[in-house]
Amino acid sequence: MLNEGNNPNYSMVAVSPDHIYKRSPNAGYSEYLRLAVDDLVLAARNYQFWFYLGWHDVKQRYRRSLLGPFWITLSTGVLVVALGVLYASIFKQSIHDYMPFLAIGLVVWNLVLTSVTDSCMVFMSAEGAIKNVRLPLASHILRMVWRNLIIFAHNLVIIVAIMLYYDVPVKFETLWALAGLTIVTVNCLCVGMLLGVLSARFRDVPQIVINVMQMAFFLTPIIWKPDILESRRWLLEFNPFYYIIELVRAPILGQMPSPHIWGVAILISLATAILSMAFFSRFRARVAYWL
Amino acid sequence: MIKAQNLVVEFPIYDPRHRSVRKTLIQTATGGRLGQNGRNRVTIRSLDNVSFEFKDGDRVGLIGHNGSGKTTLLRVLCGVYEPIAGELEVTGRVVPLLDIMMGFDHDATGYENILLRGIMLGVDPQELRPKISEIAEFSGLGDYLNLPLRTYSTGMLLRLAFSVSTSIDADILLMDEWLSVGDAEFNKLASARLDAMIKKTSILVLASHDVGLIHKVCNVIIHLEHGRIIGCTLNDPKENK
Repeated sequence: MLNEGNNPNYSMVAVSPDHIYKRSPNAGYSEYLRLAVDDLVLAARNYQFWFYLGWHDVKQRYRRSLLGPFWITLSTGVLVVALGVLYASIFKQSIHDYMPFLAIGLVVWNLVLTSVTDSCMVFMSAEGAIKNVRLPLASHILRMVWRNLIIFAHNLVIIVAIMLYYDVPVKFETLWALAGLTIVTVNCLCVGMLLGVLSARFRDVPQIVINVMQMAFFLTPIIWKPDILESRRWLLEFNPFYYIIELVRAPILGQMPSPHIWGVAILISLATAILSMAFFSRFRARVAYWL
Repeated sequence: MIKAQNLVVEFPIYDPRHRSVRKTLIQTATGGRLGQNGRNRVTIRSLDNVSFEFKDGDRVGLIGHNGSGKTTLLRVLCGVYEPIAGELEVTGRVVPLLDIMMGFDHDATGYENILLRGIMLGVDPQELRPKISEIAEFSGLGDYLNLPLRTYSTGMLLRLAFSVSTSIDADILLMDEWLSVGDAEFNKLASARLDAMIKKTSILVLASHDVGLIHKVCNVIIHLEHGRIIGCTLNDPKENK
């Protein structure tokens, strides 16, 4: 909206409509929930913020670098190939079978891992913005997840390359991987809310999370195939990461995940969402005080 | 329109080492009121039952010692801190100019940072893009805008920040200290631009240590101390110009 003003030498830019707000902080839990939902909706609608800034974050990573955007793909690609060759011979598997399995698992794990670890810093790294302007808190989480999805898209090139090289057929089932990816994204958003809030309050959460994720990497079938685990199957069955990675990996390898896996994955997502909303609703307004 | 009633803003201190502060709850010359909350935790009460009402056309000046609660009050008005008690009603577009350097990415170019800063302040990039050349021209930074911010001097950074911040329409403008940037030549243009921006706003809330400036600009002057309003005077800016 242009505004000529008194001085014809310059015109003004209008700010997108701000909110009319009335705060009565002595409110019950339903008020917290309502404000949290408002925050999420406003953040989602204000897509210019996280869309542009997420892209900007990715561009930053390959500014002044030798390889430009390819370095993201290349670094993951080198890891996949190196681990693939090594573990295929350790596990006495054919590279033909093993490499696609490993590549998809690693790329999806990368998305989950960076989302989880970034979640811990999501509010602390945005401290300047949080304490100087009014933005819905969820914007920062959306920015983080969007950034990681863009990087995931870069790494997808590796999966495509490996599928072509090892003649993995593309069937109709492959499209179900998108549904799996949606579940992964939803979980990343929820974890963002939960860990973001917790880390702002307790400063050792980031370190604990890093340790847990290191452990989880080995406990999850990424390097090893789930069927080689004969005893102690509970390690597999109680590992939430197994289910959500399988939802993306199995369809790409041409196999629909069983209803059992879908069921558990949806339950996990629901539980994560409920827990995250609970924490986010209650402590959303406190984050600015804690930073 | 801004209406506040019994606002309380209190910061808890979680570091257990500060428990020793409990033993020495002396009245300090500056700072918010130290206290203890129900859980035996040291707290800093930055705003203590503050109530006020500003109407369209008000130019409010906040004065007080360091730590008296001026910036905290601005942040509450902006919506950064949701008060732990009391009620606040704010109607209109709020543009906070609290930290002029906020949102700057030093590895990005001047042009990119104009967009970044605008987005942080809530401006739609689609609307901002056509205005970039005009903001660029006002800043007078020329080709430097194609270079990363790390090549700029502090004065140049301030010029850029100022140019972007003053291109936004606001109903309510919050300022922490008057924006005074750049060399003498730029300052003349800048003052004109800032004055024009302020004329368009309904309410201006300015925190400053420069009492003379406050008397020139503001029609209401609020004196804060230890988070409480200890004085409120009306003033006629035209007298002091």
